[in-house]
Amino acid sequence: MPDTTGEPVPAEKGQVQPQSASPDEEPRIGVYVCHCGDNIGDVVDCEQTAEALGKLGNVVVSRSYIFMCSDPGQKLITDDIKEKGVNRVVVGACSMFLHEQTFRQAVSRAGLNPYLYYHIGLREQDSWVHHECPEEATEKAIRLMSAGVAKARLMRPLEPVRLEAAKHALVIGGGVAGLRAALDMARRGLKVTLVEKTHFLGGRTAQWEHVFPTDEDARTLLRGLIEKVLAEPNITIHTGAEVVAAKGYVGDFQIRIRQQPRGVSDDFEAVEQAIAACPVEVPDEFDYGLTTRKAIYRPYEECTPAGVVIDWEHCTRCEKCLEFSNNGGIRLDDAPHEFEINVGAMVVATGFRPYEPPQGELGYGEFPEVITLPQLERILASDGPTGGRLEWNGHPIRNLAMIHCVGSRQIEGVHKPQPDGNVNDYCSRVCCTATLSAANQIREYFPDVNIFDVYEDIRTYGRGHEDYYLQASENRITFLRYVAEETPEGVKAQKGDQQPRLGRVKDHLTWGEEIELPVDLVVLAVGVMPSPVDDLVVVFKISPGHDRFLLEVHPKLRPVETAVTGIVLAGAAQGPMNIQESCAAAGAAASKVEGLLSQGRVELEPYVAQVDPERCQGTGECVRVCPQEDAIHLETFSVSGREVQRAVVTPANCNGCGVCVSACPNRAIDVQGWRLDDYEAMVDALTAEIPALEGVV
Amino acid sequence: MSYRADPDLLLEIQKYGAADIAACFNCGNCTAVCPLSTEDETFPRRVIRLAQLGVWKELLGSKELWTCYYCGECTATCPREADPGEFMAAARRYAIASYDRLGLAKVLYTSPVLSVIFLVLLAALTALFMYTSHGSMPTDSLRLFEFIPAHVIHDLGIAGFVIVALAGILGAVNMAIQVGRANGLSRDGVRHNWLGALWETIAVEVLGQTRYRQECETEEERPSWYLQKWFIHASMMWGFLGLFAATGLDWILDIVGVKATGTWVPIWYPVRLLGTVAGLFLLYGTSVAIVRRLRKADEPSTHSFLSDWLFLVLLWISTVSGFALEIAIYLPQAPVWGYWMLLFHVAVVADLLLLAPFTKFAHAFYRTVALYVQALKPVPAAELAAAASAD
Repeated sequence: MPDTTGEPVPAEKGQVQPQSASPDEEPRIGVYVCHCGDNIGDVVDCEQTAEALGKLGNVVVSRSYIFMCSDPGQKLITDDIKEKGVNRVVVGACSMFLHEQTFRQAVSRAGLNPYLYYHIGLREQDSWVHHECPEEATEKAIRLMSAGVAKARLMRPLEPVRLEAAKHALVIGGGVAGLRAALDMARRGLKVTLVEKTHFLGGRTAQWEHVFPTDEDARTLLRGLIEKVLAEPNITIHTGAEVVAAKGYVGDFQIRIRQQPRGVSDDFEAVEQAIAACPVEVPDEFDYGLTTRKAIYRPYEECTPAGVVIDWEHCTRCEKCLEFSNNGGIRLDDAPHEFEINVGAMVVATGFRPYEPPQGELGYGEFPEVITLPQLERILASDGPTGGRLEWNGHPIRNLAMIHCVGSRQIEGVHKPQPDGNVNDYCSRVCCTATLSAANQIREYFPDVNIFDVYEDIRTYGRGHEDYYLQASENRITFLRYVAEETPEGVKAQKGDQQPRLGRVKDHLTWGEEIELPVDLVVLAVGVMPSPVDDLVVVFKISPGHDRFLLEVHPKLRPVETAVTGIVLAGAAQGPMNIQESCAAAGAAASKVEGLLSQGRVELEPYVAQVDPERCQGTGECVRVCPQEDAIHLETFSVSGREVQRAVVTPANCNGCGVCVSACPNRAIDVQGWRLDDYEAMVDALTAEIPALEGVV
Repeated sequence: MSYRADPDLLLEIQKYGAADIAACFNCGNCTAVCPLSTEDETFPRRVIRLAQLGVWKELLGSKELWTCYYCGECTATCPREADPGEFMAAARRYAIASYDRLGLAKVLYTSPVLSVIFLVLLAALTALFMYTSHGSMPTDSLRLFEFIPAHVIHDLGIAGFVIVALAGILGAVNMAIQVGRANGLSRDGVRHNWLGALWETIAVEVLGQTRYRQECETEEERPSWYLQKWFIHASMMWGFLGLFAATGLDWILDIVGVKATGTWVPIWYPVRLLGTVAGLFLLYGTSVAIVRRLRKADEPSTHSFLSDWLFLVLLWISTVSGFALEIAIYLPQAPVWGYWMLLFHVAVVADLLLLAPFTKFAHAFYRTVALYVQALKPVPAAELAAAASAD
């Protein structure tokens, strides 16, 4: 199976080493027109095209074939290189994203430099879009390919950019995705440093007790994973730590990390007394604000690392806890410390935060009976605020309404935008099944509780997820359906009602009638938002999408890599994912990093800027316009005894965008493999009166 | 207008069947395939939704509950196997129990043990009551009313009829009010169309079984006419009404002095002939219906609730015992079992009739009321409200 991702592939062992064809040797071009079965051949006259191109200068072979990517197709190329002395190859076929690598490897196998190959997209750019007019499509094919031939005449052998790489990876985030990625990489021999912003491992998973689709206790799952991570000698963990600065490029990133002290020694024993002594009470984020905690705290009993920490933000330094300190068990004067590490690549696994509805959305923040799904999960948890009893605000719960899509699939103009002006127009994916899972759990543990499930759409998309919906029906959960423009509302119950709250829903399963739901509790199935990563976006120059989740470079073909080589994504930092998907993404991220670093060196495409020192006058225009950091800079040279400034490219940081080329007033910069001369020759060829066309069109 | 949700209703209805209805996700396939559902009267989806939400008032006021004849097409096409057809039947049982304010129907529907005890006890009491006034059993010829005086049976019948009529009327009025209110039935509307609607209901729908006959035979290969669902149902109804008429006529003949009750008449005597032919219809209908239910021959015969069996079996026993009596009358020698058969027959018929308002039998008048409201074509409540607010 050929690699179709369009990414650089390291040369395989046992391959013929590419010959360094001299740039001055006479180009002998082989041209190949692929039928792609019927895809191209039904529209473009491939034989005519090949025939026309055969008449162009320097073309020594011109063929058409049914499937160039097939083994016999590739053999045509390798045989022509060996037998006919072909030293430049042009193939007109599918998109270059599909088979450029295939043909590069074929060319390379025959002993030619792989960059002496050029790919023309005759399928996506010609036959598929012009199937109504085959004659013109044939003309277009000839023109496109003659431009390819023009470029081929000027092609020179290139070498990929090779960089030394530290076999050391950084993982940012100690949630389930970060832990999984760290473990996978460490097991393949990489050194891994994991930094976690909070003082505890486990992330959001630790706050969930009962998870779909296995109905397991999330904390048990987590404990197994954390134990393996802790036992892995290749992994170093820093909790309470954040990345504050980063420099460098794939293979050699310098990362500056700031770590908050715990303020409490590992062997500190008088935990309960110290907690009791602390006078500070702040909302407990582990219980999503349902309860309070002290400024010396731990999120839950079996947390990792074990023991308590000081919440420096809220600690008043009143020193009441020091009474139990036992000579330095508690150290309130500890300061954060910073240190630097060198890594070859990194995995960003910063995870998500649940959507926090603004005051008043569906009664949230106004009525105590309106809570969010993560809060309900804490209520249902055995170590939660009610010890797992289904009661809230002093009331046992008899009727319960759950409202889907709160903070997801929002519509501009209907929903209140986020502080940055955006609405969450995406589906948060995990909330439907999580809601149904909680609903089923309630119906099974508390069969007297009635549940109204108020949804816009039910999207139980994953394997086994639909079972939760089926089960919900069997569990007699009453479904109601609203449309986004008519969001449900909560009002105070009338006199004589047994429930404190009335939900009002325009139910489209009941022909749009307004239904009143007498309820004790309204649960908002809030969506998923990325953890705040603005600082990381700046530090690493990675891009968030318009949904503010971190963006991959290609959603289908390169789903975990960012546009910055060496930085990959794992888990919910990239978009709403459940635990299973986060682990899958983490595994993919780990293998991408391993692929980059395991050789100890990194190969990048050679299409980077190249300065002609003869022409460069040191104007610095290129440095000013370059969008990349550290990709081009001025250096002082001595030319005939005179100190001059000349531009110098750092190939590892250059992404070949070509902005410097257009800015240079002296035409001193070109992008290797895509020089201005190449473009000019191609444009000339595209617009030329090609004699070969006579008698064809 | 808004509905108040109450999840207890579905639980309540499920005491009357409809075990699978919780699986319904309101797709509406049932309504789409239903041959009787129209744009204005949509069911079963609408009725199922009312039950799921627990809108008691709307559910009990829906005439759609009764305009369904349970062809089973919805159940056959339901993608969730929620059995909407059986749900409609269960909801009708629930409605019968709800319209009856005495609470007897609920007991008879939901408790098989109490049901059977009650029936046996009622029959035994009836038999005992008649037996206390018994006379001789002449053996030269079968003179039934020398064993049990005719006036005892007549008085018992009239007393029973009054009780039944009162209970039935109470229930029917109860229902008519709810259905009428929910469907926007107004005095003016009734005055406008009452006679036409009566014809439409009684002649076309009830006696003619028009829609049942034309729309509800949904098997791909229509069976012969005498095996079609509507004909089996009609046989029972026509047979029952024929016997009811024959009994009434016989009584009238007695009152006007043409023929005293119990006088021997030949089989071709018109009233006797009417009774015999009607009995044959009833025997045919009940027998086929019982066999179909035993064999689970089609969708509606698959789920047999206690009330379905009681109604059919009581009808069948009444019919068979009636024919046994008729045979005894025409035997050359008067058999003694003939007298006992009379006691048995009257006791079973008493069970059937006295309990009519509280059993499946009650569908006869509830369905008629619903069909009448339907035929009156009342203005839908929503339109009424709209018109009122426009004024």
